Amino acid sequence: MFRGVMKVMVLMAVVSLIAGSAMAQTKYVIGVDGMSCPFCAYGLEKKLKKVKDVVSVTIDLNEGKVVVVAKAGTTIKQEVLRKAVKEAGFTVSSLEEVAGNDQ
Amino acid sequence: MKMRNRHRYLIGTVILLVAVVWVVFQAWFPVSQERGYQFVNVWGSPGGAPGQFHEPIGLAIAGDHVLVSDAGNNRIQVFDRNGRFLHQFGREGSGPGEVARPMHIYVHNEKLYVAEYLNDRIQMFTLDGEPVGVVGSPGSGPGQFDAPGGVAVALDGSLYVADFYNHRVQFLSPSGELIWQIGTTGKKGLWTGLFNYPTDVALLPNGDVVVADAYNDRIQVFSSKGTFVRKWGGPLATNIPGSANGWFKTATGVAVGPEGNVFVADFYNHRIQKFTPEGEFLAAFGSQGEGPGQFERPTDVALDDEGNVFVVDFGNNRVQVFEPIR
Repeated sequence: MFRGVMKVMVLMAVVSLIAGSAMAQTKYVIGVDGMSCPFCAYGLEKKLKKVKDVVSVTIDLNEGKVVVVAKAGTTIKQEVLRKAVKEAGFTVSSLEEVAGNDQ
Repeated sequence: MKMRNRHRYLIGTVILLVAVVWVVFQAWFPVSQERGYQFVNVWGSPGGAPGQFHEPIGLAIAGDHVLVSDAGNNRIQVFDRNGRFLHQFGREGSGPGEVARPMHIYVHNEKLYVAEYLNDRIQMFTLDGEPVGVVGSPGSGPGQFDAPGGVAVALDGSLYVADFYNHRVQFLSPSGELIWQIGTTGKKGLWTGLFNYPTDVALLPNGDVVVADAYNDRIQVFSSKGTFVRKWGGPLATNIPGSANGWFKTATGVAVGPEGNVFVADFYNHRIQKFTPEGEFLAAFGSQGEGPGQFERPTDVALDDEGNVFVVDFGNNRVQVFEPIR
């Protein structure tokens, strides 16, 4: 009886881990120089939202930071993000990839 | 005799040089001709609750109501003239009644026109917030937009649109067909009639359109037929940013007052400047800060019938009101 319960619990833990892994979303924290005008910042938001597998873009104008979240289970090449930032007229000062499953 | 002539020549040259410097100085560094404006009211704080703002951009006045585009919150908020919150409309999206980064707004014939930056369209609402139509679509073709920043509407309902990333101003029929455009699509330029990220438009009483040519640090004016009339902003309006009177550091918003004067939101100079319709400097007010009468990157300005000035204080997430010093 006890063994049966243990098996079920282990199975549930494995399923949970697999599901969690499948839901993992990669975040990219991009430092952008000179971003204080909303017209330009929203232009950057617009460009980044058009990048494949991007599900959300959050811009912090005061901090000069952009957080891009990729679709669960996907990653985005950093060069692609750098290109989008450049096309919007900005320069990347830092780019950090953060793996995780938080939104 | 020769020495005397030389002296005369030298003195004449010096006088001429001084005169030229004086004329240039007067033209490029004008002094204020008015008593200016004084602070009377402020409302708003950072946040998403009614009456709060997250990156407000545009402002328009309709009778006793003040409408503000709250871009970061993707909504339009309506206040009375004293800043009391009345109602709001719009939510994030691309369907009818939804908005995505609403920028400069314009009221004409009991309708609100909203330039939607991320939806590449101008959406029309009743003043109660009912969506009543859309003009434009994403792109660079005639009647299409790439991030429209501002809109103004002529008496017959035709629209002038500042088409930011297309570096042009389009004049459209009420149903959105192109009548003419100024600027080269997708290419920024410095010469007269070209733009470097235009953000806003306003109309003079004679029908001329005033364009905030934001990153050329200047104002350009065109007739309703699209012909160039004049420009101003720093030496020869040639994209030289500065903080002297009549110079700009990114002109993001423009409005025309009840007497036909032109008011400009001078973004990185944290001030509002006032000019005659001919571009002659009249007054400036504001400085960087969080106190009453100070600004943190103002984006827009609008006037009521009495000449009171309403300013969107973008970085401070608030609206401030000023009255003329009489």
